[in-house]
Amino acid sequence: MRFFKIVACLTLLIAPLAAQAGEKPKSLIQIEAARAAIDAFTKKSDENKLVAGDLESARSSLKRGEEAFANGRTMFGLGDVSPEAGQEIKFDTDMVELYLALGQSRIDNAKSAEELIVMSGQVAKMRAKVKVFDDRKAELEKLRANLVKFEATMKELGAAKAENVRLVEKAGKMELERKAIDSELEHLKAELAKRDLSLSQAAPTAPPAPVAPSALAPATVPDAARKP
Amino acid sequence: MRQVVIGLAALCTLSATALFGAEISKETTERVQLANSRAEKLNAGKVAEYAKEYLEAAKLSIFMAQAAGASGNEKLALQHTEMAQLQLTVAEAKAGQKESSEEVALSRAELKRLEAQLERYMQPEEK
Repeated sequence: MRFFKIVACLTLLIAPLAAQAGEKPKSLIQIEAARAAIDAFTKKSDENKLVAGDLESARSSLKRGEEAFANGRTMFGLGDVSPEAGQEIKFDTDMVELYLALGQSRIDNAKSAEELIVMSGQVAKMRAKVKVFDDRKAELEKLRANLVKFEATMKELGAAKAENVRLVEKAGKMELERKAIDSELEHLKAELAKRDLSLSQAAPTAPPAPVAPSALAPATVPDAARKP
Repeated sequence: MRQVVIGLAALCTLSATALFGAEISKETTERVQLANSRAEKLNAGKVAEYAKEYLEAAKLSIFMAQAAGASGNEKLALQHTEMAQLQLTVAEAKAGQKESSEEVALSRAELKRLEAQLERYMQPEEK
């Protein structure tokens, strides 16, 4: 009976400890997560020199956390670590996370910078190509504008030529009219001379009769005044 | 909510410190101040826009460091300062990365625009 009592007491004492031993302490979970993150990042970064320093720092932090875990374990190694050690482990694992974030950021940044260089080159090439077309387009526009101007000038020239022809024709007509008037004038002059001659032959001895102003008028008026 | 709780805790610590008058080394105080001025400087720039999360975390770490310093816990103050400095470095890196990404996106859009323009030029002109 006594033996059973002892066994029951021991069972009651050990059962909670065994149950606790089955669960992983929070600090250990944090350390394992940090270690797994470092391993994953190492694999992912493929020994990228850019993040070598960050990885080294992360590993150092992890090591400090592991040391804190080892030193801060409670009696029999069961349960979680002491609060001070727990705080140290939390700090170290947080630092691991930050170092990895920094490394990832460096990788992404380098990738972006590389991409930017490539893109800038492509943009420059494309701009040069487009510029050729832009220049041609501008030249074409200029030529079109010139063509419009030229057409307007040609139109004006046509109108001027037509006006010129009209004026030449008018001048010709006027010249003909002038010639007709000149010949008429010559004819009238000749007639007047004939009349003067006949008048002088008709009365050679008689004193000069008073000349009627109406008959004398054409003789005294200068030729120029009689022209239309 | 978490920040409020932490802030209240820090305030309690500060009050307790005022009562007991604990002190930390000048070097640690300077480190905290240095981190604080760096955070303020970054807060005024693009980092506040591009990496707000990390900057806020750094500010909280600085606050915790100040609280730990005020309570005379030098080790904790140093830890929080170290973390704040790293958080600020990450914030800078993240901001730089986002800026680069934006530039890449802009270049890509520019390239697309130019390609479309070139395509239009290559097509026969409609009369």
